[in-house]
Amino acid sequence: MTSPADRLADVAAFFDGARLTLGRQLAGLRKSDLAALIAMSPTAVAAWESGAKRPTAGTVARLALSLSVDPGFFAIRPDDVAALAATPHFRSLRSTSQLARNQAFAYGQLAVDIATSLEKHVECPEPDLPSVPVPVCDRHGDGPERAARHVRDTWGMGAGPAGHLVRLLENHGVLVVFSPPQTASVDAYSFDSRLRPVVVLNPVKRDYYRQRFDVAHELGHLVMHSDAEAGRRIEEQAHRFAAELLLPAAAIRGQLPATMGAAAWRTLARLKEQWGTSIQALLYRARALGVLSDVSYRNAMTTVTSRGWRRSEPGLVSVLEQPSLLPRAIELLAREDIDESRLVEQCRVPVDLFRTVTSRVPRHAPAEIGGRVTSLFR
Amino acid sequence: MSEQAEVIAEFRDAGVLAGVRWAYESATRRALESYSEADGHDAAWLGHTRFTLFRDRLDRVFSCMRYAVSADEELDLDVRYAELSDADRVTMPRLAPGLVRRSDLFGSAGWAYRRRRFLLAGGDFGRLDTLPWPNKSRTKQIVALQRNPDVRQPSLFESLLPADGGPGESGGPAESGVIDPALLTADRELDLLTYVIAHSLDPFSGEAELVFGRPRLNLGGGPAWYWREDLLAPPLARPVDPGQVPDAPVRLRRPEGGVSDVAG
Repeated sequence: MTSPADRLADVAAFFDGARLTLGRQLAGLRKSDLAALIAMSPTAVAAWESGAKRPTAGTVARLALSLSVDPGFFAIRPDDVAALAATPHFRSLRSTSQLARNQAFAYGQLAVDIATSLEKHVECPEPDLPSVPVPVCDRHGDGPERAARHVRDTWGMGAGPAGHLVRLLENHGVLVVFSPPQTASVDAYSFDSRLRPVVVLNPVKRDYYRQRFDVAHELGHLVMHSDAEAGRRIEEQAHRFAAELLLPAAAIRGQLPATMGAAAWRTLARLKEQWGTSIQALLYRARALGVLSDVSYRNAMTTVTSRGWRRSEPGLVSVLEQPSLLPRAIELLAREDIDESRLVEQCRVPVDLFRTVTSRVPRHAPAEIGGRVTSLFR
Repeated sequence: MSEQAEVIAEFRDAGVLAGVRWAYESATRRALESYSEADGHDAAWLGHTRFTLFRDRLDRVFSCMRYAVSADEELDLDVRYAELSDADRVTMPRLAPGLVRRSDLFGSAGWAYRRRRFLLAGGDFGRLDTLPWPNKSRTKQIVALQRNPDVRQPSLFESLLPADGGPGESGGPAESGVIDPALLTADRELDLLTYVIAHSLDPFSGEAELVFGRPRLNLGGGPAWYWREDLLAPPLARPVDPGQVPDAPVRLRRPEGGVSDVAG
């Protein structure tokens, strides 16, 4: 039987700097923060992460302790996750810190890592995502709308309301996971990886209609922006894509109210249930299509605000669309007597994070996170 | 429940809206097939033909007027299907005779289901929402003057009457754009609650519009409807219950390279 000291020596020998970066980012730490925790210099941390130097067995133990992970977390794995993924698309760049974005992306990479491990045992739908690049400078063109119509045509979505959107993406090979409650300040995001495209959903919105818009928005990035730099314009394009995908102009134009009044609100409530989008998205669409004037739109949004609907709109569907790829894989493997602990060991991740990544539902948020970035290992 | 939701549900559930939609699609298809600028046709010809064919198709699908059922079922079918395309024959909804009856109003073609009647009104493509009722026939103006059932307070139309408004025509279209002041003081209750189906067609693109609604007398412009339903929109459907959608197909890999068939 191997002693803990021998195991530490093994990990030190097979230490992977990229895993340290991943662990540090998941813990929400800067290099200097981690260096302070183990009383070493930031330069040393940088050298371990880049692979220029190798930490001793004792240092690996201190790193593991300070991040609250098993030392095995740092061991090299067949696939280098850091090299697996393309840069993600984050919204609200100004309101989210680099530290929070790094943490969120590290979580996304971990999800890919876990999916890679599970896919050794199970077969998931092949990625089958159309690529319709839309240049960032396409401000006055209809690139995003054409891209959305192309997806509708290619995936045989017909002209009417889009069904279960998360399942639609999964059936075309996209991995969809909820992010942990600690990263709730970061909106939904997406990125491509060598395994499959990934969409990470915000866990605290808990609104069926808004989540569908988020999913459509992220699909827009994956379809249109594989090489695009982040920025306001590509966010606008993803919004336009989502609007056309969920509310195709040809079908919705004649149904939207042209003026606001009691009857218009009833129409919007009906359309909301029919198309599975929020009233705010319908108003935005009505203005974008020129059905509703700017003045009427502003007045309507004032009403939305005064009714408290910006935070929570009334709606009939209270269940979120849930991901199924990884939870289904776990269920199938459990039937084959491959239980969770074996899978966790294989993935070498803390069990809580493993459960968050493979859950059908978002995990509950801790009482108070505030704006601080806190470790995902706790 | 709003009047719109109530009326639309009632008409849809009975199959009346499906009949109207079929009638309009059949009529516009035939009108566009026959339309030829080279033969001297123009927008007026197209509008008139479309209306004539629409009225005819409504009578067919609802078994009214010359398509009323007789003792000879075979002859009835021959008459009902005469000149229709194969596609129109196949897609024509099968509705019970008598479900909808002809119910003209002051000479305007109308049809009624239970206690509700609808008339037809043509308009310009893309402008049905502001269809100017003051420019339409006196009958349409009377219909547009019915009280809005969703508003409990009295109408304020009187104050909108133009100061120099002269009397409109008593029969056909009132091209002057002003209405007869006598109308405004007339009884606003008709024998049946009466609605309007407005229709338009763009001869160049072939795009059509068809709405069913309660007209609002828009003196001085503005919205032409208290409410209106787009009849050409895809069928109404509630979003799928997210909990009832099957999982994505995930299957176990088998060591031999095959996969088991344990789909989600």
